[in-house]
Amino acid sequence: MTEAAWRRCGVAVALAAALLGLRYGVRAADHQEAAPPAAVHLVQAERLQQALQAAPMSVPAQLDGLPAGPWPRVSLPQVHPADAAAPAPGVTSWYRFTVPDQALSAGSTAVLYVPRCHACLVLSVYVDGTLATTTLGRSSHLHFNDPLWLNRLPASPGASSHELVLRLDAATRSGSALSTLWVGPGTTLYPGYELRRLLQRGVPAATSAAFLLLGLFSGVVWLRRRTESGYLLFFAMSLLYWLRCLHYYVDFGEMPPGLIVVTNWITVNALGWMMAVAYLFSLRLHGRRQPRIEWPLFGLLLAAAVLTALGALGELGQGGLIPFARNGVYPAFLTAAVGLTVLSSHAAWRARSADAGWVAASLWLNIALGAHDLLLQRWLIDVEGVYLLPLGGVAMCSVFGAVIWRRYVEALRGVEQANEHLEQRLAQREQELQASFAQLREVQHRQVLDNERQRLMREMHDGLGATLMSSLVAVQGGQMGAAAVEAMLRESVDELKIAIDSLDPAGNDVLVLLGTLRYRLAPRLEAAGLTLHWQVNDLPALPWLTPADALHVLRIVQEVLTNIIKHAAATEVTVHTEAAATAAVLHIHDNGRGLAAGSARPAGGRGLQNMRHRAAQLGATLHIESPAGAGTRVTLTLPLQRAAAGD
Amino acid sequence: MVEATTPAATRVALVEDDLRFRTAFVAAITRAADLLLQAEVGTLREGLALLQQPAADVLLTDLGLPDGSGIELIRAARQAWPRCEVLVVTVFGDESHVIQAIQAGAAGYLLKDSSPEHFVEQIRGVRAGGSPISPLIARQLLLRFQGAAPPAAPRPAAPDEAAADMLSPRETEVLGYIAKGFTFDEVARLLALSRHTVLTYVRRIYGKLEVGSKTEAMHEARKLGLLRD
Repeated sequence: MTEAAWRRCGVAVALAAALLGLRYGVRAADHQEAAPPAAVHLVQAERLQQALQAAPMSVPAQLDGLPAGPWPRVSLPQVHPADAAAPAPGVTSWYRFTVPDQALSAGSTAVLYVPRCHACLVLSVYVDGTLATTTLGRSSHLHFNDPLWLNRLPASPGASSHELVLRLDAATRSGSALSTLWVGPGTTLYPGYELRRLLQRGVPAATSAAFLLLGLFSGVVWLRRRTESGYLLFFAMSLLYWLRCLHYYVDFGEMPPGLIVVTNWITVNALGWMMAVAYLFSLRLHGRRQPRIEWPLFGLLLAAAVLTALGALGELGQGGLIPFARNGVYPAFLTAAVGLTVLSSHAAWRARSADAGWVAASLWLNIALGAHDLLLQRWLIDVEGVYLLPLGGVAMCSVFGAVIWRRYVEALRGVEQANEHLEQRLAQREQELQASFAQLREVQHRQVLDNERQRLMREMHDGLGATLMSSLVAVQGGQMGAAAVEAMLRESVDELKIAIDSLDPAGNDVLVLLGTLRYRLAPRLEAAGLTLHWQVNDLPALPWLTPADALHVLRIVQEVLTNIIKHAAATEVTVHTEAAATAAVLHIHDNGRGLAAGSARPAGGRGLQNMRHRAAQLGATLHIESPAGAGTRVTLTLPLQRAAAGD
Repeated sequence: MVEATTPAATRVALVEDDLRFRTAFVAAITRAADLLLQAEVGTLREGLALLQQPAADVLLTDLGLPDGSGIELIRAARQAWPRCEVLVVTVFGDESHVIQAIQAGAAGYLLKDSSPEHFVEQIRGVRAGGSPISPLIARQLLLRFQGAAPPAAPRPAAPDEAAADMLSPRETEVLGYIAKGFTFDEVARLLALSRHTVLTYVRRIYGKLEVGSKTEAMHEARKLGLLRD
C-alpha cells in the first residue's frame, strides 16, 4: 500500500479510537458517581513486638485478645532489618488497624491488598478476631515478590469499624518488612494489584521465556557455526537470565527443600555468571583479551559459587543462603560489575565500536538497577518499590540480540555480495577465457596457414622450382632445343597441377591421390611409350594417415614414375596395391634398365634421398630391388598401425 | 569417334579472352575436317550477344572472362541454345570450377594445356554424348551424391526427378573406378561395357548434377516465396 493509503488508515483508526474512548470514558465516569466508596489506604498502624514463641509455632483460628503492652503508632512501610547478631531467634510483630466499615461494606468484594509483606516465617491476618489467612503450613514464606491479595474478609456484620490485625513472625537474621495496606473493593484495587503483579512476576517470566527461545535458536545456530562464539554467548546470556528470573516468579513452596536450595544457589550465582558472559561478549566486540582481569573475575565467581554452596549446605532450609547472598555475594558482584563495566566502556571507546558501546551502556543500566535492587532487597529504600533488575536483563538481552541479529544479517548480506562478486568475477573470467581462446584459435589458424605455406613452398621447391631452375640453366647454356623446352614446360605444368591438387589432398584417400597422379602423368607416360598397368585394389584404412602423410606417398610414387620416364628406358610399368596382414603394400615394377651400380643418373641421388626421407617420415619401409635383367621393383610398405607418434 | 560423315560439320563457337590460346585453338579447329568455327569472341557481353544468333553445336567458354564469369554464359546458353553442348575451358581442371560449371549446365571441360589434337578429340567425344572427367571430380561427385542421398523434404517428384537425387549402383561403380585412376577403357573392361557407354554414364551423372542443382534452386525459391506453384 502506498504511504497515502497508510496515512488514511491511521487517521481512521485514530478517529474510531477517540470515539470509543469518549463513549466508554463517559460511561466510566458515570460509574464512578455510582461506585462504592474508594479503597482505604492504611498508612499507620499500632505495633507490638515480642519475642518469637518457641517452636512449634501455632496460629490460633480465633484471637482471644491481643497481647498486652504498649502499642505505639508507627507509620508504614515498616522495616525490621535482619540482624545476624541478635540473641533472640526471632521476633513476632503485631500490627493493628482500624478499618472503617464502608471500606469493608462492599461485602464479599472487599479485599485486603498488601503490596509488599515480607515475613520469613509466618504471616497471619485476622479480621475482627477471626483468622482470615495464614501462611503456616502452606509454605515457608510468602514469596517475597508476591503482593498479598486477600478477599472474603470475615468481617463481622453490623459494626461501624473493624479491627484488622497482622501478625508477622520473622527470624531475626532475616528480618521482616511491611508496606502500606489497602482495603477496599476489589474492582478498585485490582488494577493496581494486577499492575504490580505484572511488573514483579509477569515481566520477568515473559521476557525471560522469550529471550530463552531466541537464545535456543542462537545456540542451535552456534552448533553449526562453531567459529561464531557470539551466538553461544547470547544463548548463555538468555539461559542465565531465565534462570535468574525464576527467582522472581517461581513459588518454591511446594518443592522439596533440597531442590529449593539448589535453585536458590543457581539463581544467585546466575547473576555473577551473567556478568562474566557480558564481559566475554563485549570482549568479542573489541577483541582484546585481558588476562589480568579475567583470572580475578573467574576467581571471584568460583569463590561465590563455592561459598554460596557451602552456605546453602550448611543451612539447609530457610533463609541461610539468601541473607548471605544479600550481604556478601551481591555487593561483591556489584563491585566487580562496576570494575568490568568501566574497563568495557574504556575498551569500547578505544575501539570506537558502536556495538561494544551499547553493551557497556546496558551494563551500566544493569549496575544502576542492580544497586537499586540491592538496596530494595536490604530494605534500605521504599519497600513498595519494584525489583527492576529484570528490566535491566531485558535491556541486556535486547542489546545482545541486536548485536547478534546485525551480525547475522550482515553475514547474509556478505554472502549475497560475495555471490554477486563471484558472479562478476566469473563473467570477467569467462570473457578473458573467451578472448584468450579466440587468440589461441587465431594463433592456431595462423599456424595452420603457415604450415600450409611452408608445405606448398617445399612442394614448389622440390618439384616445380627444381625443374624450372635446371631448365633455365640449360636454356641459358644453349643446351636445350625447342622440343626439349616444350617437354620441360609440359613437365612444369604437370608439376604445377600436382601441386594444386595437393592443396586439397582428397582427405587421406591414397587411392584417389594415386588416381589423380596417374591422370596427370598419363600424357607423359604415353609420350614416353610406356604402357601402364593399373592394378590398384582397395587398400585397408590407415587410421594414422594424415593429409600430409598421403602427400608423401604421392610424391614417392611420382618420383618413381618420373624416374622411370626419364631414365629407365622401359616399356611396361605396373602399379599394384595389395593388403597384407599388418600393412598396405604398394608395388611399382618396370622392365627397364634397372639401377645398375655406377649407372649415371643425373640428379638421381637426390631423388632417391628424398624418397627415403619421405618414407622415414611416414614410418613406412621402402625397398628398391633391381635384379639383373628384370628391371626395377619398388615396394612401399605402409604399416596398419604406426608405432611411434612421430611426424 | 564420330566420323565427319554427318550431314553438316560440327559448328563450334569460342569465347576466350587469351589471344594466344585462341589462335592455337582456331588453328586446330580449322585443321579438323569435321569441325567448323562459327564464331570467336573475347568478352562475356559479346558471348551473350552471340546467343541471339543461330545456335552452334558446341560452345567453348573460358570461366574467367574479363567482364564476368563464364558461368553466366553457360546458363544463358542452356536457355538460348538448348541443344548446344557447352564445354568449359579451365587451366587446372580443379573440381570446384568444374562442378560449378556442370551445375550450371556444362557438358564437360577442357584443359587449357591440352594438345590441339586432344581438343578436337574431346569436342568429338562430347558431340558423341560423352563427358570428360578426372579422379578428383569423380570423388567430389561421389561425395555430393552420397551426402544428398536422403532428400531433405519429401516432395511429390516425378520418377526422373527423384532419380536425380541419387546415383544408380552402376553409376556409383563407374565413378568409384574413375576415382581410383582407371581409364575409360579399363573401366569398360572391368564392367564389361563399351567405352562409349561409360562415357554416356558420365554425361548422365553430369546431367543429374545439373538437374539436382536446378531443383534445389527452385525449391529454395519456392520456400522463399519467389515462385508460385
